[in-house]
Amino acid sequence: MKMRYNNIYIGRRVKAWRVLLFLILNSSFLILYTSCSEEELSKTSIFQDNPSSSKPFDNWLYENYVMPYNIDLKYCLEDKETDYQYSLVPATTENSIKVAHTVLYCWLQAYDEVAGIKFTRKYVPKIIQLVGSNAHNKKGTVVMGTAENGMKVTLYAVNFFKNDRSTLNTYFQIMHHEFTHILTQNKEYDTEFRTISDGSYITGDWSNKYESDALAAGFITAYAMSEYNEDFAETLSYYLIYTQAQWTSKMKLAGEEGEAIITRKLNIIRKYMQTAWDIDIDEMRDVLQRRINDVVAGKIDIDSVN
Amino acid sequence: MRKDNIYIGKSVKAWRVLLFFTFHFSLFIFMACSPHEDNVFGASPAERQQQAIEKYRALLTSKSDGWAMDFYPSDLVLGGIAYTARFVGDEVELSSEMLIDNAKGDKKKYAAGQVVKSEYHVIAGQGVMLTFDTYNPLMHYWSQPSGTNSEGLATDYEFMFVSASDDEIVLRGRKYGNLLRLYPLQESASTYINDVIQMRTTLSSIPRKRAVVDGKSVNVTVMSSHFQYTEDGADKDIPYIYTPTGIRFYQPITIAGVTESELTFDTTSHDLTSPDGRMQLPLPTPLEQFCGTVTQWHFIYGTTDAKYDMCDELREIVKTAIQRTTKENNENVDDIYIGMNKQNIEDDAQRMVIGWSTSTSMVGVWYELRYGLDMMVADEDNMVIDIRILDGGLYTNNYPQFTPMLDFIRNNTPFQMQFDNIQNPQYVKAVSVADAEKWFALKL
Repeated sequence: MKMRYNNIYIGRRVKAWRVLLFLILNSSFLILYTSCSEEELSKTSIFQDNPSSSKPFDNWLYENYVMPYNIDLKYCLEDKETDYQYSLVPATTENSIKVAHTVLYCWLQAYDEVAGIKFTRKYVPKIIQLVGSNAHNKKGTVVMGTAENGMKVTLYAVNFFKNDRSTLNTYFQIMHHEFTHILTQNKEYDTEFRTISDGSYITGDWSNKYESDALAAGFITAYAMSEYNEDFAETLSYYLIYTQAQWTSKMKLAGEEGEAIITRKLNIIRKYMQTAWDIDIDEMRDVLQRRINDVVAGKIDIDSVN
Repeated sequence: MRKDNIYIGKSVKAWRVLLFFTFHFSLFIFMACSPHEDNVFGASPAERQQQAIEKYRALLTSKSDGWAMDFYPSDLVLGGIAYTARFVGDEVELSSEMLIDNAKGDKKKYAAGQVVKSEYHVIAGQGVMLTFDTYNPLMHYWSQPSGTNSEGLATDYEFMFVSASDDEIVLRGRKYGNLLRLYPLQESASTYINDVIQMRTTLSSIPRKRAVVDGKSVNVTVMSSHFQYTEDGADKDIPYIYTPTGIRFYQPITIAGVTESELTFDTTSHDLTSPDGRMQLPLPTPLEQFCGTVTQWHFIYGTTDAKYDMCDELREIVKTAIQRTTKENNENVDDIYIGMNKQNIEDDAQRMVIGWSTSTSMVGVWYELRYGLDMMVADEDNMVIDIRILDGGLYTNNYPQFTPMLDFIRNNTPFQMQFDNIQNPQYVKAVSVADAEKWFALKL
């Protein structure tokens, strides 16, 4: 009897556990499926778009940068968008307008003309950040422009912008230099290039070199001596912004030996641009020179955004 | 039977374990899925941030005359600089009490009170930030880098909101921590700036050396936009800013248990007094004014002995120092003085000095050499002061010939000061209290 009693008793207890477990599991899953699915999301986004700007410059940027190229030209400075090591100041709106016009005419539209707008759209960086001051580093050198992973170009010294050949050359040398990096990051260039001056690259010590030293050693600038990718970008960008007369005079300064090295590098660059990108660098130079001359001659209105 | 019992026993244990986990799992589900979760703040962080942006923007633009802006740029060495800011749409109109000589920026000069417009934005950053994000020389003068100074004057142009009300907005710089405090303007911006300039002119010409706290006299030094005092054995240095009514401190000061945030200038008594009346900075006596002079008192000497207005002993010392400077340093001594350092405070923090100026044969090349100085009233009734010579400044090691002159003062202090005119002195004779034969004269 005792045993039977025990059996019955245990059997009941087991049943009770089962019932309880059944109830808990069912109620849990019911709640999981019903209560969570009933919560409604607000139809209003918590992130509110900025109201459409009434500022003429913003509208101009939308029509001339965003629509054709999907480029965000930032003329308001956010410190977090820049390298923390630099102390910088924002650009003036007035000079930002001038730079925006000039970059459009002498850079974006120059590539449109030579390589087609599809090429420009695809490869130009999508953010151009304008900064008013130079970026001075503690070594005493000045950074005029930087490019980040092909996505963003930062142009400094906008507040010192002047509509003259020298200023425009400085700007477009930077722009072409940085753009060259983007192109070579997308399609490799002939590895023979890096062997030409192998052993002569001096990394950070370039700032102690004079231009004449660099030219004689077969580099178009002292900065080109820092490493072969910079050498590639410097050689092409200076070739594009120099007139033929300026280039010839630099080659004279370089001397026979220096000129031979630079010409060898330029030939590789010329071949690369033609085969990889279908761009004739001499045609590109003519187009760019013509456009820079137009701006310097005042043929292009770089002040108005109306 | 025994076997059965054991079997059933194990089975019950397994159920229990399962039940335990099932029960806790269900608790988790109850908690995780509760559709009526209470939000502590009433809205999501992003929504609150957006609301804060709108609230701060509305507050900034709500004052038709704009705001008085207490700005503490750089490393606080200049104290506070009074600005005004009027926010209209996306634009801000700034003006400053200071002439901005923007040589490293746009190379233009901006007069005190000149209004310059630029853009500003209230954005989400570290919290919510007010950023002056297009160039305004009045604001960005302080952060403009240059070849010789890559950090510029190390000042922010992006500021985080710390607190905001209709009466006061407090912001802190994001990178360097500069303080920006805004109060609603009660008058036009130009009136405010003019009043501040007037107050600065009135107060800065007479540094104060003494505070009276609850009737008790306490030594302080109030000059060059810094309030210095000692509390519990620790030296305190609190910058301040000039306002139309007096001065306002960077942070509250506590002297002898009394805490104050601002002092008001009494145009009748010329005292500075706290709003609760417990702290006064009385107008300094003529002797105190001499000890805290903001100009220079010059030693009198010339090409002949007769032109030296000092005792014979000091005359020989000074004459030798001048001759040796010509011979050994190849420089002429143009001035020997006691008083405010001719160097800017950014270049040399010592304010009260005994110094000499020399020039070379090259046009426009001159040098300022100086030792720090502490002049204190020793006996007001008998017009006695104590002069202590402190550390030498840059390059003083190159001029050992001046050491005997410093030793003369060290050895013969304190001095009785005999002014030509106590209210408006132009000339003073300092005579050693210990030996009346040791003396020198100074002129403004």
